[in-house]
Amino acid sequence: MIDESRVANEQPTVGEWASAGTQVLPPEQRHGVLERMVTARWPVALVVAGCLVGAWQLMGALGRLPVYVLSPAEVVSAVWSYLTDGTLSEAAVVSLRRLAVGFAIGAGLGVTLGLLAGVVPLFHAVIDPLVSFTFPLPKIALFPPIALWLGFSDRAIWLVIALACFYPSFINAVAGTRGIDRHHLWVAGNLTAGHWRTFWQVVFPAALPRLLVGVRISLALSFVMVFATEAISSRPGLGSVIVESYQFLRYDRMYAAIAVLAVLGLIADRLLVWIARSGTRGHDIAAVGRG
Amino acid sequence: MLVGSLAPSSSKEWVPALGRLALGALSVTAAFVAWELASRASGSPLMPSIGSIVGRLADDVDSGLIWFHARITLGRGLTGFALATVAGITLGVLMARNRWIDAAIEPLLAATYPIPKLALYPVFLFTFGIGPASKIAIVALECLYPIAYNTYQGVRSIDRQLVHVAENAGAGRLRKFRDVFLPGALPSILAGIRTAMPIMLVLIVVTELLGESRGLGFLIRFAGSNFEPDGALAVVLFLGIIGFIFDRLIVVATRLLVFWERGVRL
Amino acid sequence: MTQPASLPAQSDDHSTTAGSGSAEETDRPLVRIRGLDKVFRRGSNLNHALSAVELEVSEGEFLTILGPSGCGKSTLLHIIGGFETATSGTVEVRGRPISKPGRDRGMVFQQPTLFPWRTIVGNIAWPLEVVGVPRRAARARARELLELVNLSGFDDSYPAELSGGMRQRACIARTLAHEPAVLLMDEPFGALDAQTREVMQEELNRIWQDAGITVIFVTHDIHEAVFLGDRIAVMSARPGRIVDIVDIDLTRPRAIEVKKSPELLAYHNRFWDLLRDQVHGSDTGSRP
Repeated sequence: MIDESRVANEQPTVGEWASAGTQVLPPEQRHGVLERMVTARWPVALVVAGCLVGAWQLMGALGRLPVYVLSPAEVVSAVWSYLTDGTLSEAAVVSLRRLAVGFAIGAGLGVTLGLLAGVVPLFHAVIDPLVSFTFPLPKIALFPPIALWLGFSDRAIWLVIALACFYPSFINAVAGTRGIDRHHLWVAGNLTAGHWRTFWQVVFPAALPRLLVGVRISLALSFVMVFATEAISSRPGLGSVIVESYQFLRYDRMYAAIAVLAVLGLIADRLLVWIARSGTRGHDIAAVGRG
Repeated sequence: MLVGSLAPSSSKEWVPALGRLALGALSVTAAFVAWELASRASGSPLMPSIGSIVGRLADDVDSGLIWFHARITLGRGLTGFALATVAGITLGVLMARNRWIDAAIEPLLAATYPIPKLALYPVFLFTFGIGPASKIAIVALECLYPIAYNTYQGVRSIDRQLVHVAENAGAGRLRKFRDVFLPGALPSILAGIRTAMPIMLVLIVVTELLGESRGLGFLIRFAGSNFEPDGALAVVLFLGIIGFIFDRLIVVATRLLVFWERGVRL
Repeated sequence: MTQPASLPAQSDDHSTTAGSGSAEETDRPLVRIRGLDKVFRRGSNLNHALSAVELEVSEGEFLTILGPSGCGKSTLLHIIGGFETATSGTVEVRGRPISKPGRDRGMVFQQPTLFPWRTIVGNIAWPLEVVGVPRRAARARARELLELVNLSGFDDSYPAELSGGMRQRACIARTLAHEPAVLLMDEPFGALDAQTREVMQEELNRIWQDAGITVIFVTHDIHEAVFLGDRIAVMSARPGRIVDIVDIDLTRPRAIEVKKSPELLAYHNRFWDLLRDQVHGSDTGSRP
């Protein structure tokens, strides 16, 4: 008779029902809470993260942290106080606005031109060399020259952010059009769908997952760029709050601003993923198994 | 995940390859011409002509100025990059082969990926001082992510039966790493390295723009503050060339190292 | 099996020279499987792949395991090979229970599994390098094996340059390189076209006779099973059990023409009926 407690949560590694990512366990490791935790993964990560934060807090409570490192509790209270008194919230709004403009222009242009290049070979042949040549240049290096023309102004920052965000979106949009199954296009052609319809109803949805990867990268990049440009130019915003706090050794304000920036970056990313997921549900269903 | 990669450089078939090359050269030339025209039209000293930029670069190269600062910048950047590569590959393999490490670390990596880690630079400055160590550290931290992730996915994508074959022959862990995981994951690892390279350049330039007294970033800022746009743009041009060369080097290295995958397109 | 004096002795688990050991050892079956069960679980669904499998394999014989698709025969082979673990029951090789992969059970998979980054001779020499055989000796032995499987001349080619049949032959050679006590073959010719498959079956027969090795061969093709095997173990549909074990009384050596002989056809019909009952008897079909 089969001892059911010994049957682990596992999939066959061979044959028809095999799926990728299967792990085979020796009998000793098969059952119990630990097994379920490691399969679900996030409980383990949570425990590890919890231990790290706990150790950090403990060191802080014991006074063993260097003066420039705050304990988690202190960071949280700093965030609270600076948010509620307005310094951080104002700075955050300013930074977000700047970032949004640059991101929208850069990613928007990148996606549009990328899709265009994907479907019009002539356009691709013209623009791709330009993109490939200029891609490896760190766009932040353009900030001082641009600042010479536009001053250390919001416009200069928008331009630099837009330039940086353009590339990942463009490149991934083109890549998204590349992998389109020829059969889809043939079906559309067979039904004598017009170019426009083919584009919107075949090319665009098919390119969407890859395109969104690029947009996601652009978004993360915009956060980095807004910090960098604000730090360099000292324009008001989270970036300059961080730098000023650093210069005046106001550790609490510095960590609070860093934390706010970090959390905003996370939220923005999650938001984008959530929006993306609702647009690509069919793709998810078509894909099988874990990555 | 957030794996950036470049599109294959081929257009649809009907544009013949030579024609494309010509068209490419044409468009780059056109861009230069457009700049030149704009520069002459504006007549402003703030928009230097191509000639003056290139001339300035030539001067700086001759005088050794560029090399002096480039050595500093690249020295730091490549050190951090090397650290990130070693740590990233190790971490990626460990995560891919050990369920516990995977469960413990991968969710944390995924969660912290979108955070602009550059914001932690001031903390690094406090910890490591204002010397090169802080810059190497921030480069290593940021470049770690794409390399680790790509290695992780690369190892996981290795045909499971190749691993069985290795176990069947009695291969130990080190041997499996050397003869199966490393070569099998190599295409992905190299893609991760290619992604991480521009990240390295951005970070090193940013840190130097922020408050350094040496390096290419500093040089740009210095020229900028002296209202020498041609000087600043000359360094920018130089950086662009370096970035381009590094990228091409990685592509060539990939073609050489991953010799068994014909038509590997990066 | 030919064993050049230059190779180091393998670990004492599996000295392969026939005829050594006491009369007791040669009487004992090489592989003994008892009460083997395998159950998979996905969430709350249980999937019985194997149920109370009993099997014995003697040294030097060619045993085929025949069964309908999805009956778990691959899983059985993988358990013998140590790539999967049984839920209950034991597998013994030379009297010792096994649970992990090992050099004594060499596996040839359905798809050719050569390292794409090594040459053919590099692939075949690899198992020898793993146990510390110096490169030159390993390569020399690899070349011998290449000759055995009729692939001489392709030493320095890469797997990508070879056809499917050639790659499988290279895989067989590589598995033989670790001098296993038993060769486990999981429908190795399934991915090949019909003509190549027949050629490979003949080749396999010849290799088996020349090398004097024990083989457990899994397939769903009746002709293949009867042509190759000394005995055939027929498996039921899921959950897999051994329903019958039949001795094949065709003389050896068998040329490919045997496939058209009336004796083989008789066997074929018999198994065909057996299998058809199995397929009809299973109601769960394929994917869970």
